[in-house]
Amino acid sequence: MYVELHARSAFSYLEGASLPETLALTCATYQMPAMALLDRNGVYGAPRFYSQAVRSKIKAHIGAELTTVGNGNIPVLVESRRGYQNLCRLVTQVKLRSKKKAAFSAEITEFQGHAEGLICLTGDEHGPLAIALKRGGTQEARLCLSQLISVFGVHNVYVELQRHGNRHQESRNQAAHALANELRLPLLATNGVCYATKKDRRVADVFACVKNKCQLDTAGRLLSQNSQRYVRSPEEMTRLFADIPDAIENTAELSSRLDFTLKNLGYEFPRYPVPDGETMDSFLSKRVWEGARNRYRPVTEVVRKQLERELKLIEKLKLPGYFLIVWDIIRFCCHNNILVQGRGSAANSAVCYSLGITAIDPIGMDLLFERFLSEERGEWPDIDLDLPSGEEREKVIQYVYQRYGERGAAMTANVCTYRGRSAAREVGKVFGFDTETLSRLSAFVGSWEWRGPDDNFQSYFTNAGLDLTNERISKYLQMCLALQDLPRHLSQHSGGMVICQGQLDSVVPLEPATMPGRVVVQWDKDDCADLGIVKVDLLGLGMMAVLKDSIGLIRDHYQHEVDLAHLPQNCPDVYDTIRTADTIGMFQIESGAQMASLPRNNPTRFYDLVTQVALIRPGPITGEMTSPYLKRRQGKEPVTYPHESLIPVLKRTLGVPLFQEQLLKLAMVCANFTGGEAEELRRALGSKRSQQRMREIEIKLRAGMTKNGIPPTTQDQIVKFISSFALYGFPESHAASFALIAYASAFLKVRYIAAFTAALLNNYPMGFYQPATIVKDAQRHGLRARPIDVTCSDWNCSLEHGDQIMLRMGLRYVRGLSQSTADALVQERSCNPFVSIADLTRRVPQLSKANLTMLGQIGALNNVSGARSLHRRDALWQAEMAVRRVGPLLESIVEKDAPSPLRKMDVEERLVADYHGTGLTVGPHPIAYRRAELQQRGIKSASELAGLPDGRPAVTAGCVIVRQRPGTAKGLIFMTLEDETGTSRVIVKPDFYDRNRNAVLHEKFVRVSGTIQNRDGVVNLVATEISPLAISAAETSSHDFH
Amino acid sequence: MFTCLYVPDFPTQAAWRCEPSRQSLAQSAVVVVDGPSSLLRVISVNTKGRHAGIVIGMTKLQAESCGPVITKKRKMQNEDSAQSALLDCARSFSPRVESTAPGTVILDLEGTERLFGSPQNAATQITEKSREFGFDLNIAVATNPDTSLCAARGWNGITVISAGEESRRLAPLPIYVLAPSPEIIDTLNAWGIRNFGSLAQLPPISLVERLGQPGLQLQRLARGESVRTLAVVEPATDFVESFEFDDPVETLESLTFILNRLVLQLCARLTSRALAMDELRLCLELETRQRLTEAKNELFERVWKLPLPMADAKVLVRLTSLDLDSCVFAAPIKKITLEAVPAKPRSSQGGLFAPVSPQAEQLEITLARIRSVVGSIDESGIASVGSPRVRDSHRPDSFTVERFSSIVASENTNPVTTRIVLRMFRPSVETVVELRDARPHSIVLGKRTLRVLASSGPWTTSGKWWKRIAAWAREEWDVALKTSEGVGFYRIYSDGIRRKWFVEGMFD
Repeated sequence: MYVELHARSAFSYLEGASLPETLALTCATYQMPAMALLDRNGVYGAPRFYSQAVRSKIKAHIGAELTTVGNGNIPVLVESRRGYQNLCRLVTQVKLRSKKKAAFSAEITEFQGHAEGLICLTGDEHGPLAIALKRGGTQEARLCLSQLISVFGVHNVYVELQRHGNRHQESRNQAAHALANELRLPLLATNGVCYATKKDRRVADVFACVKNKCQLDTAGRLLSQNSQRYVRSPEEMTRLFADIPDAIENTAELSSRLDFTLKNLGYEFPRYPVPDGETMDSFLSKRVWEGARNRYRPVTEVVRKQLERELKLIEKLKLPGYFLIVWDIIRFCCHNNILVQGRGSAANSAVCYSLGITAIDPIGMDLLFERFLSEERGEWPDIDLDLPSGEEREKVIQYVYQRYGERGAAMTANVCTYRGRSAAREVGKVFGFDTETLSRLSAFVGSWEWRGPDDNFQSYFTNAGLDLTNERISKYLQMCLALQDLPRHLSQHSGGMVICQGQLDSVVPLEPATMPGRVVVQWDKDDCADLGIVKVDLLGLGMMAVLKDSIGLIRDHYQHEVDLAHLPQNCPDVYDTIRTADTIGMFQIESGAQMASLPRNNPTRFYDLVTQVALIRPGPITGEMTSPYLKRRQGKEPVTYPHESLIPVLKRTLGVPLFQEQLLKLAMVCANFTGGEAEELRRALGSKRSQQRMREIEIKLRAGMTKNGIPPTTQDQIVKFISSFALYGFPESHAASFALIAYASAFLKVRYIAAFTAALLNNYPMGFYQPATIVKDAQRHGLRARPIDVTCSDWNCSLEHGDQIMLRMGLRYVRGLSQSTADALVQERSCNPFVSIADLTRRVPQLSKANLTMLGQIGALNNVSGARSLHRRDALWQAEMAVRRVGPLLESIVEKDAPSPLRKMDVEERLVADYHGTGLTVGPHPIAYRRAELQQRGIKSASELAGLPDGRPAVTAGCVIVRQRPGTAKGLIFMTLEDETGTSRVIVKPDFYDRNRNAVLHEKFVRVSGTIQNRDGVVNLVATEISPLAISAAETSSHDFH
Repeated sequence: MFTCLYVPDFPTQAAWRCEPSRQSLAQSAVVVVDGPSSLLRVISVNTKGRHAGIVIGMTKLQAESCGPVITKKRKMQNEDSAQSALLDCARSFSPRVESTAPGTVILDLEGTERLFGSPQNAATQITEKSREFGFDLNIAVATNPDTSLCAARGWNGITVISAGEESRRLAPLPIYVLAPSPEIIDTLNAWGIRNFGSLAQLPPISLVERLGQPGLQLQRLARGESVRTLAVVEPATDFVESFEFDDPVETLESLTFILNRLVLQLCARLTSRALAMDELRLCLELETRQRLTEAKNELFERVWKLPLPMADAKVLVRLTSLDLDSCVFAAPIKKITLEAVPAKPRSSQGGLFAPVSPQAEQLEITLARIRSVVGSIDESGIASVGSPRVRDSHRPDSFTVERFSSIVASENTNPVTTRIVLRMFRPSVETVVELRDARPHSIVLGKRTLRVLASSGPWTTSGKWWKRIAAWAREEWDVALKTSEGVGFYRIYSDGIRRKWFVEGMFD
């Protein structure tokens, strides 16, 4: 029996052309009992290979091809856990030593201390033996083998033979065979697999070109010679090596020696150091009871029981270290005044609440603990911590590194794959297309969330003006498709950190990230989770930073101290604002879909916000739960339950399941699932890959329901409820954590709009709307916004005092101005005010001509000359001369700015300059200038539209600020238009979109005719006609969600 | 007075200038496209096309999606000859002509009043004349060349600007007519300077302080105050001779006769200007053949690139005759055009210690002789005569043929260590191979079927999968055959694309 023991996957980055899963599946097709994956310089593909192998019931051997100095790529196979640890440590050692991220070059001597438990093969044409033969013939090859024997031991070196129909290779094989006989080394047949099937060789050729930065036509012998490096069947290999049967037999023998699989990874979460006389359990218990007394006043019997139950389970699962480590991070944040909030399923735990990890009381909200931690699942709990994005999150990450050491903690990786644009660009280069064509094509690659029948590569190519009947273009297209989803490179996950007891580098190789000071593991977060590696997600949440900045601004300018933990609850003015969907800038409830449902849900208390946050999610929407829930909220539909046993479960959400916890409870109540089984069900539904698992659980679910006497029609309804959550829904705890932040953001916006708006603008990009929309919204709420001015603007937007608190736009919004230049300007200004543009130019030499011109165009230089204000063109006229530096003799003579012969900018020119230079205007909305004319033409404003009855025809016009095509909306496109009175929502049906693609996609100002759809005060305009509107040439921009 | 002749959409007009249906084309959307055949883009479009929504930069497919459109691929030759024609047209009114830019010519009409009348009259006559050359022009007459140029670019039809009126008349023209540098146009845009008038009004000293001399120069142009002399272009240095037969000829003798004459004339012209030619181009216009829907001229073109500049008529005549000997023409020849590309004659002397090499002229004749026997390209499109060069490819025996050079290539420093010699059969001999257990069992060689005693293989190679025509795949075997003389060793291969077996060669 033959076992393939040398295969590379696409995780060898440009050296392999098939996914590890595909290799494992192909191997299983041939009924091969095992296979070894040896990716280049790492074990990147190992978890996926292992998972597929387990599913396909084959054994997954692990190894790697390690690049060495002067000895080519040495393939090693892992025999034991010790070997695996050695391999990981060796790879980490070399990777972390390299200056460049992708570089890897090991010295053969480095193998010396890391060879135990590893088996060495002699490799292919780039292996040590082939290189030695080429360098010095048999003599050199003999020395090479002796060296490998001395490093790995005589029983751990196999002489590898490959046959790819190549004469040179065969002559090498003969030499290798002779040497193996001479040195009594076993022979080993492999096929040096690089791809699963013969036709994948084309992908390998494209990768070879990408790697060597050349084109197919000029690559010559850089391309593969033939298509022989595919997964061969055991019969084919046996026939191929019929003359050397030992080489085939040895594969099975060696496979039987390889004990190690990723199942025995040896991962252990770190222990938390506790004072003498304490155990981690006792220490945790003390901290929890301390916290509980503070949180629950008083600690009731229910609370006590729940805490005891949780602590008991934590002790049983040996997890106190994990909780203490997260508690330690929270403590660090508190000491350093960093806002932090746990979310996700951790909010289901009273222990987490007591430790201050989360802000939601799971007992008060009756949340299901099993969703967080379950004895049966055998999985680690998952705690996500939201931190303010930016420097403060980095502080926390660096704290974790420092505390657990460089090799004790690392970020999880993020595998970037070839997708539409990247594939089109890379393959296009390989086929020799010019960059202009490739940019054009990239622009047409659709990236809407919703995919229509035309959203495929064929139509992108046609739209880009490429002729698919041309042979070169059709081959280009084929290869773009073939590359889809293959890994492209590894990047750093945004916040997932893994920590390990002892050394993390013995569990998975670590490598430097591009960002200095960061180390990443070679696996992504799903791989880590599959292998039971516990991670803490330290996520940057823009809104956390906004809240923190707002609190600072409020303290400085309103002299109020806002404590997020003790915000006044149930404020009527806050809920009034939310109910009227006046929510631009508010966390989670600002999107068009949220706004459309807010008046119907009519939130009046915190729990309503929790349901609101969970309501607009793909799961509830496609499961058709959103609409019944809203109708029941409005009393338009009676509250019914699928089965009377479900009343306690679904009562809070009016008989409609909205949260993942309810799904779990549903299974537990209806089908007698245990907590762990229910969680298993959720995971099965959440994983699109495992259809089989889902079917098995459904059978179990139906059997349970039948046993409980639930009729088949109700069973169908319950199964539908549950299966729709496969498309993603929120756990209640998570929704509650988000609702807290949503409420805080709403509170700050309603009470302190200047501070909140400044904080929002200073933390952009974030949220749903462009800064232009945020500023206009704030202005409609009475905030006065002042333009950028070099005499008083800082880098960030700031607050100024007059008859009211006003917003001053910051220099960060000047296009092309770097922060360092702006800082230099502010610094210089603080020493002495500028007296003229020439003075400014002389004192801030970092300002380029482009900077000065931009500042002049947006009016930021108008006040430099003191009392006498210039107009923008005067400033430009002065700036143009100021940048032409005079000699040192005249430099210190400061001339006053004088008026120019240029005429003032008119309104339109100012608008164009504002949008071009800052992306927004603090002046009137562009539409406001044309309102009278629009009114004459019967065009309604957004506020007028809001009062129209259902079914009435109407015409409106506005600036497009959002375009969205949600995956759950059956191809509908939602456009949000803005004018000086507010925003309006236009619905574009798919067939209408096909006829008016250009106007819908590209126009900045549009006039839309259509029919009013007014449902419960939520007004939409269903478009029947759309045309561009010549309002202004200003470069307004929309946020298009893809 | 200076007159500017400006051809709007010059590439489009150049492409259709000689078309008989030119007038009717003005009623259709017409574009000229350029670029690689897989991605042709619009580089020029007429007014009708612009109205249909076609803009420069669109791909051919996109332009065609705007409605019915007539397209033509750009040919620089057309534009060159159109420019020559435009110059010829201008020269018929004045000898002082400047070739300002492609599609733009300025001429000095000073002193021609008695011949052509007032500037308006002269412009009208130029317009009429230009129609004979196939152009629709904008013409402007002014007291200085640049004013006439700006006016012709800015306005359609005929514009006459009298002395002293320049600044006032030019004032409404948009600033882009001046074609300033992108940096200056950005600054002017920011200043709100949109036309000549507003630029003209800026204080010159302040302008120089800000935009330097280029700014001042632009202002002078905008005010119509620019003063310069014309860069008068010399009569063309193109060496073209042509002859149109009264009755189309069919025999090579008749052709050679005229060809000799033309070559002699060309050589005489070149020699008189101390020049030689490094390339000779022949274009034969064949008799119009009636097709199903349209009448079309067919051309036979030939280019001889010479190894060194030469003007020896005898050598050139032999060279061309030898080459044409092997040519077959699809129809009788109507017109012959011969063009010499002039070059300075060779002035260097052969080195005293340089190895002896064949005389370049003689070598070229020898190569032409070989070409006349074997043809210039083989069936796969590779040149037949020249020096072979190994290609960077896995494909066995893959080579290209490059121009023969008498310079000796540097010696290969790697000693050849091959011990077995394979005698290649060229071309490979097609054969029939019987396989057993996927290995060759017997082979038909000549009329005999020979049994395979031993075989080694398969050695597989394949490549160029991205090109249907050039794709190849082969599986080689080295076989020992039992022949009547004993045992013979051969190399055979199966062509995976043609699905045939061949004997490639025999081992010594």
